[in-house]
Amino acid sequence: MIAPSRPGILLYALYLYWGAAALWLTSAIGALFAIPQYRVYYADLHQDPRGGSLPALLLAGVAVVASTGGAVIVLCTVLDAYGWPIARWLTWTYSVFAAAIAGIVLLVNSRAVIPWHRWSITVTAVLSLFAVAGGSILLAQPASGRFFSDCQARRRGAARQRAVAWQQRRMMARSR
Amino acid sequence: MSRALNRRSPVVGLLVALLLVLVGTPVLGAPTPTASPARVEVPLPPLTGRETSPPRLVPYMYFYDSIEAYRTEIPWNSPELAWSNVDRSTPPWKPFKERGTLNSLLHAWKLKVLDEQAKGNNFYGSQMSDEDKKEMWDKLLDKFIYGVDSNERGAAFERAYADYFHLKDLGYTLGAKYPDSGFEVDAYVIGQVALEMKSGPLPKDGQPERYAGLMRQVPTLRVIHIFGQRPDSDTLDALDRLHIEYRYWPSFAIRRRHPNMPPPGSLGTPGGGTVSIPIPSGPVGPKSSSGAIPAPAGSLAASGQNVEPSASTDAIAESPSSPEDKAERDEMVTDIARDMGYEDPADAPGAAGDLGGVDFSTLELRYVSDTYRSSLGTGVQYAYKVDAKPGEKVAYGGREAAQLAADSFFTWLVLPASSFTVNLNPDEPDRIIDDRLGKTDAGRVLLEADLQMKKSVGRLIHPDTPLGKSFWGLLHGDQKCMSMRQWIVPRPAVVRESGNELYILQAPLEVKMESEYLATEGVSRGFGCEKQNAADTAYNEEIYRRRILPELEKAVNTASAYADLRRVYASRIAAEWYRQRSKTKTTAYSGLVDSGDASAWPARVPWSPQGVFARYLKSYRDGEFRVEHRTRQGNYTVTIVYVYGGVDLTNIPRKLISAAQFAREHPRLDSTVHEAAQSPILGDGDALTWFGGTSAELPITSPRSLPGSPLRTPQFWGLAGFPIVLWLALGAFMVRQRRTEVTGR
Repeated sequence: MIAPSRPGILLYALYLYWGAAALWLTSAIGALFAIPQYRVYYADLHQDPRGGSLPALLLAGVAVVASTGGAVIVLCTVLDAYGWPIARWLTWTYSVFAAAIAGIVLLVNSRAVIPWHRWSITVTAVLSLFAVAGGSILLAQPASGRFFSDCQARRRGAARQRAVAWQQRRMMARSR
Repeated sequence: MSRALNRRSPVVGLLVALLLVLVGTPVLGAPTPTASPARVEVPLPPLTGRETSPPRLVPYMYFYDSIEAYRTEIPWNSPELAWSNVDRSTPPWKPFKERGTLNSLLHAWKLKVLDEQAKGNNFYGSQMSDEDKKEMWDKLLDKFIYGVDSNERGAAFERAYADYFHLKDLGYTLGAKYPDSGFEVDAYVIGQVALEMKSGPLPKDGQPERYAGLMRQVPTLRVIHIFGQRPDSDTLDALDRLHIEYRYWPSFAIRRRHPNMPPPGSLGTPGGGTVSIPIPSGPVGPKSSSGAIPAPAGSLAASGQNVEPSASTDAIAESPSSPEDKAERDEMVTDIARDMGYEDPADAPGAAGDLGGVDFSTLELRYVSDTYRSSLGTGVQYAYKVDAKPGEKVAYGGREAAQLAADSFFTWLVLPASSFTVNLNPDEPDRIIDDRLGKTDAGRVLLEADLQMKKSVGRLIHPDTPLGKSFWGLLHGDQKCMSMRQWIVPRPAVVRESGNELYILQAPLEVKMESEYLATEGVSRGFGCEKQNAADTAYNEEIYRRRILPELEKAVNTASAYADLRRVYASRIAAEWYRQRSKTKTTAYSGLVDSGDASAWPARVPWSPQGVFARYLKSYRDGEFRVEHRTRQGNYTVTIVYVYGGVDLTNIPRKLISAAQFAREHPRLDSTVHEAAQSPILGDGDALTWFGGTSAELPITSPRSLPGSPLRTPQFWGLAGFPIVLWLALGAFMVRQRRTEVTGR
């Protein structure tokens, strides 16, 4: 059985998701670079040398979450590229989740007191929101849907063939 | 605006110079009184000093050469002070070159020693105790350092102003006698303007009047006083009356080791086995190349902290102890000015007038803040409240009062709270005071207050006074027995806690009858009136409580005899707050809290608990406060004597007020205490003056460099841009692949 070729629209969707992942990774690196400045800012604000520890910990957490989020979306898109329908659903679910986080970031970004970091997370959130929304829409296009259906059908056909071959081998073994 | 002026100044100066050349006026050359030069620019800072809240200007920082390090490098028992060294010293014969040298210091000391010897006090003989020797040396050193440093600071301020505003380029004559005036003017242009610069907030005594005379002589002359620290309104009013203009150029002076001092480390250490009393190290201030320089007296700074220079700390540290002290200091300043080559010592740049209008005996620590700045580290900001005393020309004793407040703050901080009680009781000579507290001034003040209270009671109930007479007349019982044992304890202090700040708004003390005190402490004890009806004893005590106790409590809270007690108690409230705060976060003095070692703040006034106890016994036996009311009852006399008790500051009850109440009742206190950190400032409708200060781990001159924006670093762009570049590259690759698939090539 010939493998279905990936439609261009699916590739565009995946490319947009990879873009979102790249933005999140960039954001994670930015968060790590911002830690010293936040640490100073909050230590001064709370008049406590340890006052910057919690924000630093939170930023490190943000960096880990953003990197993990990027890795997860890349994994989903790889599965999408092989036509796994479950991956498509996971990608959509994840997109909603990512869009919600980007929205929250846009709402609370005024708390980011370091100017360059505030701008960087705002731009990242807006761009990743567009990328994720665009990717989801493209993933829902009929051409993408056909690709996932064809892949599914092909996988089922292959499974049936494997089952028949296994049965035959078993019967031959018994007859001996 | 100052910066704008500064930027414009060279251009304007050039234009002015060009103009002067064109009109042929020789202002830049040798001036003559008869010339009529073109108007020159008068570069002035924008503030007058009357502004209540000056805009947030960054004060100008300048350095001056200081001999402060002598204080730590030559203690009273240093080998440098061996008579052979001192005797070799000679009068400074090259005045300007000799200022601040070891020779000039030793020569000043030699004159002092010879002078004292004539009075029978031989420093080098056995007639003087170590304490007296130390005091004699410290006093001379204080005055010598003040004399040299104030001149150096004044001269440095003049140079800084002249440089910053390019006075020379603008055609000003600097530091020369004004023609036909007979006195030196810091900067002038003949017939136009005379600038008198003061690094501090006060002009010299008589100086404004001298300028007023010059203005009468030269009617076209504008005289402008430039202050480096904010002057008070009395000073400005006085200048207004004389039609002298004024400007305030916020600036502060940073000490650096005087080049005429011997190199760091070259001076001797205290002499061998002759040392018998500890040398108070006190707080440690800004570091010099030779090590620590003591912080100004009264600064709330301990080891490891650097005090930021300010007019407030200078005003306190430089306040004379007494009129005699001021006279001696002025004499020293005059001598040093002469040594520096000034024919008229009044022309010397240093030693401005003394601060007046306040009563330093009322000084109390009323604000403390635990600060942290990433650039400077942990620190403390504080403010002392001082009552105004209108008409007081010179305020005395600020240094001693602030030193007591600061020392006791640290004493309360390092010793356990359980030891903060003293007890003068003839039956308990072994329970006078905790050993460690007994070596500090805080302990001395508590014990002296206890003794004073007994004397106050003696005065109040004395049968010869109207109050005493009516009191004795009201007592019941054959013996008229009652307990007069009372304790001074804190009433709830009214405070405002706001994050890292504590405002002490009221710090009242209470005098409790021992029966109340012991009930609070959970102890019961007989009062010695067993032979009398219990109801009579209770009645008598009630009479005492109603008639005498309020008067006694009023005295404790207002009388000057208890000023030191109130001062150390305010510090106790601040220290307790700081102790509690240090338990939850890292503070500047976390390491000191409850360390139990108060040796860095030893008593500056020699005393011993046994000495006070002996005075107590003497007063008790001699009847100074042992009131005996003798009544003939048949053939015997009734004598009642029960006056003892103590001072107990172990517990500090507090009453917190809300932010709203604080804002309503003290609307300007927040800004006042912060401004006080820079210069003395009036508060509460001019009834108070606040003096503050700030300390930090690092000196303000060499702060820690803070992390900046990473946008300027290539590492950031390389790392943060990498995922995006990778994504774009992937996109390019995919497009290319797609084309290949479509075209089949």
